[in-house]
Amino acid sequence: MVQVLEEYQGRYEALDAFADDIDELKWPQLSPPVQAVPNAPRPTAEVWVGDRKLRIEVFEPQGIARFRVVPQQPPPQDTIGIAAALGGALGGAVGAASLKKEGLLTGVALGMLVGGLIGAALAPPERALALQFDLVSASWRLYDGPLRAWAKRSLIPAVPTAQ
Amino acid sequence: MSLTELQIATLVEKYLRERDRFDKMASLVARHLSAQLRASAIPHVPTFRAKDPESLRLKLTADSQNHEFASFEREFGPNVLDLAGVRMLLYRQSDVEPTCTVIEELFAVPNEARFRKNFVDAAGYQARHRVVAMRDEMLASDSSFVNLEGVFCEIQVVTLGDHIWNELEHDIRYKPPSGEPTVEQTGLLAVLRDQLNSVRTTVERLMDATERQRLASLSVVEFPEDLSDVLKSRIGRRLHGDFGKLLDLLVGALPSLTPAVIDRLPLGPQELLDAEARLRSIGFDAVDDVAIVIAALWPTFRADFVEISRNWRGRPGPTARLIQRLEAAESTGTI
Repeated sequence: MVQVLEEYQGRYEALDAFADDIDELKWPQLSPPVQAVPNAPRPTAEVWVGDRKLRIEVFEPQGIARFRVVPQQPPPQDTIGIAAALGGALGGAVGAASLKKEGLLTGVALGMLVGGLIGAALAPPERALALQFDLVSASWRLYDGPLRAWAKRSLIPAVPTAQ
Repeated sequence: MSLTELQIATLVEKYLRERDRFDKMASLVARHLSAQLRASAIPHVPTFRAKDPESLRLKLTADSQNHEFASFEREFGPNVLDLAGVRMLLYRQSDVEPTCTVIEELFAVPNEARFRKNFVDAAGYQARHRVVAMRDEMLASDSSFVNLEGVFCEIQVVTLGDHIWNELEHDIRYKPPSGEPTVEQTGLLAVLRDQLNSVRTTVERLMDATERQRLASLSVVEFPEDLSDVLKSRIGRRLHGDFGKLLDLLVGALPSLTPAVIDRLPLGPQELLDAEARLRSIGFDAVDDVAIVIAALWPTFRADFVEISRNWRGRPGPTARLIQRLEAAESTGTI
């Protein structure tokens, strides 16, 4: 996740994915330091991955988790688990994502790069690029298959990407 | 030298043995052209055929003075060019020229005048004829195309209205024993010609009205025809080019493709003028409307367009080549 977000840094701000496609959310046993972000508009946690910090925002009704790389800070002394940091919203989002996929799409993980355009005009057109997680190379790749239109409708929460 | 009756019969025999090739050529040309016309948002009805052997016999007999038997030794072409035939029936007269442009881009059309005929007699036969061969890269793309080398196909581009007149006139001129129409037939053909000329205007107006009705209820742009209509509404005139590829670029780069989103794209008059100048400055020679739209969106979507077009399968077409040119020009600082 950090890798793809850094690859697209400057072009896109965040990656949206179905919560149940992300193993670390589905089986919340993240080992890196995790910290809850209080007073965020929706359940949000920050995770330290190597020398990077990843913010995870959960859109529970839509079943979507939004990931973005945020400025690094020293990891906190006392950390909690990702499930505790996100509370019940995590389980709700995983369930909502499964429902949305109607029991289909087993083994297909789709994501959507959204937001951000450095150097653009004042009101740049919104952009979104569909990606698929390639299990063989363990990396996100551009997706232009038949699920693209559905993914664009289903994976973009109706909220702005601005932090 | 001219063809003897036996030589003509021998050639018809040869044609009967090889007719499958011409069937295949006509079908292939019709399929490729129809796909590209769909992508170009040009409504059409394709038909194709291999020439009837009896029709070939009659043609060779009529033209026997102009042919030598030896010149048919390898191929029927370029002596006879219409053994494989495709007819593209169009609804709108205004789509005739863009269709001919698509043909020139898609196939190889030799330079000689007889490979490109424009019949534009306002009182008579109206159609465009183009005689095409497969491009080398298309022949090389599939081993089953190997026997299509040297095979020509005549494409007739005609509106549905003109087709009615052309067929009736053909039957009158070529089928009666005398070969001469009566005064009554000539008079009725002239009346029909006038009526069909006015039908054209009604067809264009009806299609415009249907387009406006569809635009009013259009929530998501899913087809090249819709994109063509929405861009016409946005820019103020009908554009021409490969809307299939443009649709793929926009659907790939935007969260959703709706008329409202398209209205917000940077496609104002000055932006389009700048885009055209940008294309000219890099020496891009296939400047059509869609190329200008892509160039206008380039500053905003360049990285996405490059990434999406790299995912396209097969040999790069005009849109992929345009993106490569823009990318190269940008990397060298030309634009």
